[in-house]
Amino acid sequence: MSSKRTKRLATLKRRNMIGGILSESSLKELEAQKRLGGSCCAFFRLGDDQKFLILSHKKPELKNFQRFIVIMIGVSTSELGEASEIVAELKGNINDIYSSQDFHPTVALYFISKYLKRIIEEFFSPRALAVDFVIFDPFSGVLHTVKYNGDYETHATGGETDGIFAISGAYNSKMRKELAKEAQKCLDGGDISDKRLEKLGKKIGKKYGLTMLAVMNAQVVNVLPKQN
Amino acid sequence: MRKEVFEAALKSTIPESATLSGINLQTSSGRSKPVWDAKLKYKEPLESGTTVLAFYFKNGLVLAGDRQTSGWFTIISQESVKVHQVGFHAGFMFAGMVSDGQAVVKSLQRVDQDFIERFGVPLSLDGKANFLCRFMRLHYDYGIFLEAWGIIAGLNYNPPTFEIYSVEPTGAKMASNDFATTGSGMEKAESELERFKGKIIARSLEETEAVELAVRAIYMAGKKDMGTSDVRLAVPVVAIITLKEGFRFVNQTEVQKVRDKLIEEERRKGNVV
Repeated sequence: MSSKRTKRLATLKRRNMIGGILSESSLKELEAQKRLGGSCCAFFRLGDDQKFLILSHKKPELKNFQRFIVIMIGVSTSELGEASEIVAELKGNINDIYSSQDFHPTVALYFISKYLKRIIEEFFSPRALAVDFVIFDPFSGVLHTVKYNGDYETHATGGETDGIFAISGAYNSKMRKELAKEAQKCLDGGDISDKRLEKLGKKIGKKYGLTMLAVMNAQVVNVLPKQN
Repeated sequence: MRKEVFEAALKSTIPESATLSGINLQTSSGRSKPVWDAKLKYKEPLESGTTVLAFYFKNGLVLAGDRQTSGWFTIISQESVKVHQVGFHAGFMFAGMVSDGQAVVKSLQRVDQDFIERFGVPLSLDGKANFLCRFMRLHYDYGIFLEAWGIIAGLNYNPPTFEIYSVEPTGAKMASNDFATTGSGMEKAESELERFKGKIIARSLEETEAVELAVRAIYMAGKKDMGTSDVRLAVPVVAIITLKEGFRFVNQTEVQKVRDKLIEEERRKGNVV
């Protein structure tokens, strides 16, 4: 995200057409990354405790689909609204064609990734959607994180894996390093209580100017499966 | 929301087979035209007077069908298999036009495969039934309805419950708590199943009892219905769906034994010469 790289891409764009189109999408990505900056969502698991720590400029969007949750982190209300709308619209489409039972985390992941990739690739979209998605399925213990450019990662959080953390967002490398260090400290100390995470969040948030802090228990979404 | 992007992404998320966009062809004038055109008369003139049935037993579901395919007053085949697997825990049977039924079966199998390959999870029975209804309904809207009266039965995954749905060419879907039958011999089979309705609802039939009942129902239908095969000439096809094993066909020799036992019993009673 360095300004050097941005300048180099801009020069490439000016020099030839092919490079121009390619760098167009790269610039879109960089611009989205820049806007997201330090906004992040960190997942912690220690024993039976599963927590989310969210640091951002805007209040994150949360959607609960009975079997899994989708957390959206962004920097503008309109983009968060768009993200929330596409997830809801997708659910409606799946309900229409198949059934409500068939809206799985993998379906959401597949679609969101495609949508974000297409926005980047599409010539007529002036900006990328600067929103990071976190899809968490507490039943199978799988955590998917989708980046603003459609790239995604899948983490296994259930079973025997213990004392782990996963970070989505935090594109400020300095902050990311610091957050990871602090997160590891929390896990080593065996304490991921709300107070401890709040303290961590406040410390990092104050340093990097992130005004919105949320600590969320992942188990609160662990509701019973929907009855037929 | 960026509508074009959403639609393009959705198109890649939901398989072509489900959105049915593939059934439209662009004509030279640029207007879309359905592939299945009544004037073309592509359909095979095979109309299967059939008896197919599904009901609940202790561990799951029993699906059974006769073996005859007829065209008007001619028997085309005595070896047709009318029970089809359309998922690990799902089966589909149909009566009516053979070509239409086969198209529906292929489509159901394809949509299930697509879903597993894309998302790594199987499509639920509700999903398959809704897709099937939509498939039927869309064809009905084109004015050329698929002449397939179907029964789709299997397992829903959330929560795990067995379900039986009857589907009609107009797109109607009806859930059944006891049994479902369709085809020209359905009334005779139904009256046989009706005698055990209490046990079916209570899910107290053992597997062997359930297979016997299925064969007997097909036998009763074949006795009076012209479109249903006689079990003495063609052994019916019986399949079982259970939670552990999924869909499996009951071995033909086992069904044959049940059939022989039934015929012997009938002979003793003097019902069969």
